[in-house]
Amino acid sequence: MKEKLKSFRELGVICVLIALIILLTLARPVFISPTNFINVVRQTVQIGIMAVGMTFLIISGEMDLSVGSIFGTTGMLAATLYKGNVNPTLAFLIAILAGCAIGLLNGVLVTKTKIPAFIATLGTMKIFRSVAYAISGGQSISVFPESVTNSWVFKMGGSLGPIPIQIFIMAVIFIVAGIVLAKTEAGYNMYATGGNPKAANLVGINTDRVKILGFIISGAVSALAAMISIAYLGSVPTTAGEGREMDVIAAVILGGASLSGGRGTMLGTFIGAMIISVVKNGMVLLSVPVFWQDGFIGVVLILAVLLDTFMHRKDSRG
Amino acid sequence: MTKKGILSLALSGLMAAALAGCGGASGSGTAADSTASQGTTTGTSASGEAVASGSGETQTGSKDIKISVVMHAMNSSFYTTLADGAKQAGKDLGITVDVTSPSTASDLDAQVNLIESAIAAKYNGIATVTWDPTGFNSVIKKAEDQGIPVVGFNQDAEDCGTKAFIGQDYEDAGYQLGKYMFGTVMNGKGKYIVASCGPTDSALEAREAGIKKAAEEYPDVEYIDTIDIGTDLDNAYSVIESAYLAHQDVNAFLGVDVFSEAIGNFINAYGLTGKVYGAGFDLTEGTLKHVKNGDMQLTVGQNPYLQGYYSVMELYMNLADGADFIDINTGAQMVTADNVDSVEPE
Repeated sequence: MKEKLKSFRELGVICVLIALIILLTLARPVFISPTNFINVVRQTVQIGIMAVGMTFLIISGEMDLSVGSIFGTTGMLAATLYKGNVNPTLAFLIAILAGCAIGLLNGVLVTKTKIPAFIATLGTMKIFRSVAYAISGGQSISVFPESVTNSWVFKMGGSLGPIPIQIFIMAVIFIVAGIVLAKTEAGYNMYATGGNPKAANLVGINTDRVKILGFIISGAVSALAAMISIAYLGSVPTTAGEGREMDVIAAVILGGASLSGGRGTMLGTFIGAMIISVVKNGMVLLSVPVFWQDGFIGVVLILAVLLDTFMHRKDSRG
Repeated sequence: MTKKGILSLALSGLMAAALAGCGGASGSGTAADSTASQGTTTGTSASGEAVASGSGETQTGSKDIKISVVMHAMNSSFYTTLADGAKQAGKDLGITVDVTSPSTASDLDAQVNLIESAIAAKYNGIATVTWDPTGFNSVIKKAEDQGIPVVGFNQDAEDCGTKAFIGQDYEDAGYQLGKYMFGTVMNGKGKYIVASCGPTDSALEAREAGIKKAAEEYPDVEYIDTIDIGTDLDNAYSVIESAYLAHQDVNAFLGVDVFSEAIGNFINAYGLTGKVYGAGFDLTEGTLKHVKNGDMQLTVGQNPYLQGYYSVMELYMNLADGADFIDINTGAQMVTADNVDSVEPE
């Protein structure tokens, strides 16, 4: 049992999440109330879904700083199409495809021109933020036709009983991504590409293709997160998604993934995203002074990664 | 105990200490759970006009009232002054006022999340800056369904569901700035550029519209362009510099927000004082210095301290005494070289 627990990679981060939940519940019992807890999980949805793509990428040894801008651009694109009375399903698909296309561009830039992902995606982050501004003309896009608000694309922002539908969407995405990562050849190839690219190449894995696939998935899920945001808020400001990339990367790292590649799980990422939401929610419940709120997240990030590193170092020593 | 055990214990202890410390800062041990008696709103109207008829019931235990102030940004002295006003009202009333803000300015999702958390935490009232046209509608409705009144301050979207708005009439303020600059300073002729920190911001667009409305009254005044100076003073300076180099025949830069300070920085650095005029909004220390030195001819205050203060005050009066909600116009305070010495920075 002890050995089984030791091999459970997410143990450290789960401990942190449970400790936070217990402490917050003790400090403010309202934290664990169904309404608040559903809020916390719903507030995890966007970061969580975007972090799924980032997990694939980081395990493959890459990262994507442009996810916030992809969120903004595809959100603006879909909102413009919705507003123009384009069929909502078609508009949704166009936005998701646009996310895939931006991901493909990122992937090609990184693998074929050998520009480091940090620089390439920093560039596309700026480019696609400008595209979002250009599409919108600097205006928020809101107030959509009834044909759109009554369609299934807006139902994503609704609830099934007390549970927001977006939580189910996130759950399905995490489960599918977890199976792909842990049980399929594609998942194995991602671990191999990030863990030791030379060895992966030698055994016949097309590492470029693996990375490009990771970028495409990252673009697609960022676009999906934007679609859910529009459905929930009914509005897209030009600033949509700005700065989101840091929360997304933090969730993946909190979840135990290694920035140098080859390590990480979907369960860990989900827990990491939950920790960020729990801490943000907890700070409101605890009336943490506003200037310290970001710092508090920083402290939790460092402590959680330290704990994870310490536990794995100890495990590797046997 | 193993090293792992010690580390886990230390981590839990540190978090417990941090959480306990933070909890203590709010000054209230338990969340106030009292149900506020609220006025029955009948709609909104022009500033200064009463918009609700209160039930007249009085809530007991009014000192237990907790108000959440959800800002849209905290990255300038203007925003912290808004927050200071709200916090001071809490102190004066002896109630709990907690201020929070997204870490990225104008992050709609994050701000809505904060409001949702405040609803779940059973705050009795919420004051927030509803800068997006419709993005806050559903969360304000959610608060209303829970019996939590929401007031808007500084910026407020039309029909978003807030009970009252405490802030400036933006178009009128822009118009007054334009009238003074085009008429008094530029003697009815010249070319101007508008400098805006936020192309998405409806309040800034209203101020710009007011400026352009004033310009229509002067046939020899010509609009050149609107530039996006962003929310970073260094960046703002560079954008203004580039705009000047592209349009060296410009006679005035007119800002529409707190980052107008960069206009004075640029005019001063380029030695253009008296050749190129500058005006803008808000009373930061830097902007007031520029007005005093003649680098800028005008800045328009909107009294952010009062906006924050009265937001809390209105919520308190409604929650404690069932008082009506009312829109409050905090005005356009024209600050020129003539009166700058009597104005305190905000």
